[in-house]
Amino acid sequence: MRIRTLGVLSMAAAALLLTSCAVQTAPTGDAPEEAQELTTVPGFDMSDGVIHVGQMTALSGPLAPSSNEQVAGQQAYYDIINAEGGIAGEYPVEVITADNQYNPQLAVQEYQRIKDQVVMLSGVLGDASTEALLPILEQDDAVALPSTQSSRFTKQPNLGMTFTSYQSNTWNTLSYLFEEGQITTDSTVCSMIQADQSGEARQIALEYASEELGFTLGPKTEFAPTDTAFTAQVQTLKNAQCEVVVFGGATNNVPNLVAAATQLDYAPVWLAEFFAIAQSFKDTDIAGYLAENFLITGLAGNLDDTSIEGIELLTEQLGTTPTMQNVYGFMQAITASTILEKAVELGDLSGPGIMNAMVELDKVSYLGLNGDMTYGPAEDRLQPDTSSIFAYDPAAPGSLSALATMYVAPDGRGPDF
Amino acid sequence: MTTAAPHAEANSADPGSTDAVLGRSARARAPRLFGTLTAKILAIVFVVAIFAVPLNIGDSYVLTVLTTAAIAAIAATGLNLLTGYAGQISLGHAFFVGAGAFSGQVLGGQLGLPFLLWLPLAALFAGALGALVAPFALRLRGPYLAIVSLGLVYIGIYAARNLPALTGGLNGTVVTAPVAIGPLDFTSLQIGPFLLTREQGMFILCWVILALVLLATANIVRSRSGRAMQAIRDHDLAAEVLGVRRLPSMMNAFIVSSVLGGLAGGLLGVQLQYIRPENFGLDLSIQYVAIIVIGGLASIWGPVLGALFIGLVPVMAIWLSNYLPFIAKPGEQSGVSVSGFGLIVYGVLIVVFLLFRRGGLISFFHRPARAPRAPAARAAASDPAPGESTTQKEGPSS
Amino acid sequence: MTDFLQTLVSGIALGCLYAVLALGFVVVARASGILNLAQGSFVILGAYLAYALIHQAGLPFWVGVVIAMAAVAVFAVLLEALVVHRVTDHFAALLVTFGITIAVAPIVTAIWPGDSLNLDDPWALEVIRIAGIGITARDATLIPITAVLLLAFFLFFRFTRIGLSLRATAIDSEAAMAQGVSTRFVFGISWGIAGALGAFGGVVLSTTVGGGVRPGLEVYAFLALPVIILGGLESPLGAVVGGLIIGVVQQFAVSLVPESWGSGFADVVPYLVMLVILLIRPAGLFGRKEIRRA
Repeated sequence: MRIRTLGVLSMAAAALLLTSCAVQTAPTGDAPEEAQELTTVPGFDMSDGVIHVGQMTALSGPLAPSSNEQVAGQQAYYDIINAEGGIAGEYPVEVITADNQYNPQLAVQEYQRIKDQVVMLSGVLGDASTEALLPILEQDDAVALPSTQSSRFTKQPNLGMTFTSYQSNTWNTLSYLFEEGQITTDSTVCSMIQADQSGEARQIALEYASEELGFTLGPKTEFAPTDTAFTAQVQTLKNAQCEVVVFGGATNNVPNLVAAATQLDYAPVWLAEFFAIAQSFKDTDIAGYLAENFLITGLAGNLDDTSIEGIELLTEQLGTTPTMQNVYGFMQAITASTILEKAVELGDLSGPGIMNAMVELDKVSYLGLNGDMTYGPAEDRLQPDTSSIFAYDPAAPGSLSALATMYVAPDGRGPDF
Repeated sequence: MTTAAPHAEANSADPGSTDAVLGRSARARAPRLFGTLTAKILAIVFVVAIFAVPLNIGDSYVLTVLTTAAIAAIAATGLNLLTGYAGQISLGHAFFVGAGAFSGQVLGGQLGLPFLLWLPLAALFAGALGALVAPFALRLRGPYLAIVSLGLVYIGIYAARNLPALTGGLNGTVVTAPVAIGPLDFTSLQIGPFLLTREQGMFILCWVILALVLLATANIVRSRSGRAMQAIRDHDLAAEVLGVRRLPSMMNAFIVSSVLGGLAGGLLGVQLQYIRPENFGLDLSIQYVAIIVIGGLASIWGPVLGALFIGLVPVMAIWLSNYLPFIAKPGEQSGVSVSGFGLIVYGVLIVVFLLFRRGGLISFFHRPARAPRAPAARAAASDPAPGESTTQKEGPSS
Repeated sequence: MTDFLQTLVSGIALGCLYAVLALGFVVVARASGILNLAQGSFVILGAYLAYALIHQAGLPFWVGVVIAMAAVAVFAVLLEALVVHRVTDHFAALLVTFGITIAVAPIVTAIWPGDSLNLDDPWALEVIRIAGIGITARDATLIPITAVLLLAFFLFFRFTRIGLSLRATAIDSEAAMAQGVSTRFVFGISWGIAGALGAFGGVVLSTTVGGGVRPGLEVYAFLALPVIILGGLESPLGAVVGGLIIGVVQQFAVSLVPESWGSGFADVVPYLVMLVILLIRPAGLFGRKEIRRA
């Protein structure tokens, strides 16, 4: 009885192992011919002609509200081009979303889930998630567009950037303040940043600016993303009499920062990025402090300024005034579409084909929303060098009131910025 | 705190006498590893499946989920040893997993050690940390230990964030440690003319290691030290009176648990290819606790079932989001997010299982206890009641 | 000198916040003998309910707070009666209460989505300045409230019948029952108090200066865990003293520690302090050494 059972089992085992339906044979080493005509590839089926792109973002958790706005912005652009038939007028674009919850571990898993359904990822939220995906993208010869400004991804062949770097934003804003006379060679400028690469990027720009413009560089204070009490850092900045502080935090840090600054009666000019500002601030008490002391870097200009082509199109498509996050997503979709147009032109929508398209591309332009992103061979790629600078105004759309649009420092782009 | 030291000295003067009570009687002899036919068949099926599954299912997503589940099962097995068998609550298991992951990258990625060296060393490193922490932590009871173990997690994250040369700091690091045993590179395994994908190779590697871990754990549990742990868990004063000293026994459990956590961490590093300090926080510890509670405390297969179940929750949530209106679709603001849904499921199941089904998922596979036919005929473990003291899957005796 | 005093004052304020959070744990530990990790759910429920009542329904601030506290107290009592009471041992109780917090938090944040909601508290960003030291209006109210709470606890446990019943049940529940004390009643009251305290803590945490009503509040309750270990699991005095110690040490540590110690040091300070104290006094400062019977 026992022997028979074992016998049956071993036959079944052998059968299972020998069928091995999911094993592919090792490649024999012939290089693929250069395709001149589009063929079906993962994410694109010739029979229906729909190009699928992936969007990986934090659909849950504290970043969800802004991520959802980015998703809406992307979709708006795709809707606009789909109305004209899609890429090259023939191939509509559809988005498949994935939730990485801002967690790189889940990013990897989600990527595995959707990678065969899409030709590329037109958005990946989170530097950490992008870093996590990079080795896998390289293995798979796939392309992703990180939803970040971090310059460390610019020269990667598998990644396509869209936005101005943190360094350029900081450098431009400081130059602007210097031009306006709010910073002079007698000023002390300091920083309050996170101990990561985005913080480092800002610090590099700050140090460069202090050399070029001649102001005094004050202390660098650091905080962790989950810190809630900033009194120690604010105390340090106050004691050093910093008049301007480069701030690298996000929306969850700002209320605590304002509370600490108010308590210690400290009111410098804080330079922040637009993702530090949440709509919910405008009917709280911190709005007053923000209006008086915050200077914010962002994209485009006033969000109701329909003289900017991108804003006009986005407003029409959404049916309402866009938020800055909508614009952010919209711009990434422009990048993705431009790349896909090139890929279709070259006749190859596979991963290597898209990478090749990025190499063959010259620039991507953004309908007046920001400066051009320079493509080409990976080592030649350059992020735009323009920044738009805003004051906080609860009455303005998105609480942002433009002071300067598409501003470039008079001394030009900084080194490797 | 017990005051049993003098008693233990007196009674353990003759180790043989303790053995006589704990080991030598027929009824209490350690159960055979694969005592029943069902257990044998299960083991064979398991081993076959380790190879049959990836060879027949090529979908990289499914394989990734299952491989991650295997790694979680390894870590959970470690935690189960400490919590299920030894009765010590720990909320800090993520600390040891993180230690394994980062040390794995330092040893394998930065120093370039081969797989057969860096993985065991990473596991031992985590074990060494466990040995350091244990004497202090184990003096504490119940809630105190739980909180101190929680503190370990935060201290671990702090340390990892502030040693950028070793861990990449706040941003973390890519994992480049090699995954090759001699000529067999699991990231691109070639068998004859067949080339396996990375996901297929990693699946086989992790599930084989899991099988070995389960074997080792089953042996530990059967062994004298394993039974000592359970004795202390159930009634530590009585155990001390019988000569089973608490601290060394608990330390064994703690150290082995940490080693397994470190082993899982090393594997997790190469699976994810990117690790950062935040990955090893309270959320991960919660996940392991949920796995062992839902899977079945103090059982060998429990952590495996639990890990598979927990691993499938997010997958289910995505699938269910099409049918249940309160789960938010991407782009929507209202409703529970997929991850939120996962957390709700974990929380509710932990409560439900602890209230109504202490044995966990594994207890659904147990037959209720039968009256023993005759003491001599039952050389295998006498049927335990479904629940805490089960050591392995029991099937019908044929 | 002003810097020192400023840090000290900030530390005391933080300590009072910790104390309020810790007292909730202590009450339940005294009565039921368990570490109630569901306290986290009380914190987040209290904050969001207060938001719903004050910001959404427009009730006056203190009315909303009191109603929120009462509602969470009821929730806590029901939780104890229906769920926790069924659990037989401390180990399982710890995990069950943990499971409750894990499950409740996403439900709450799904009902009220948004990353930082405005509680409309009366303190806003007001800062009171005395001799160059600033203290937020919220903290200026919080410190006396904590003192009053501590006094109230003391009086309650010492001088009222209910307080006496609670102490009796904690010492020997069978003897207390023999004297006519209903343990169910005692448990109910204790959990109700814990719920109210947790809700109050949640409200304080989500004021404007606290950062608003936001997801993740339930984790703040866990911040109080080192405090109760430090102070002794069952001692209200320990909760307050422990809270003050940790609050003050944390503020000083963060301001005095050199840059090279890195970021996120503030998060580990409470645990480090706790570990140091545990090395010296394993039962905490005011904790009772366990007397165990076989």
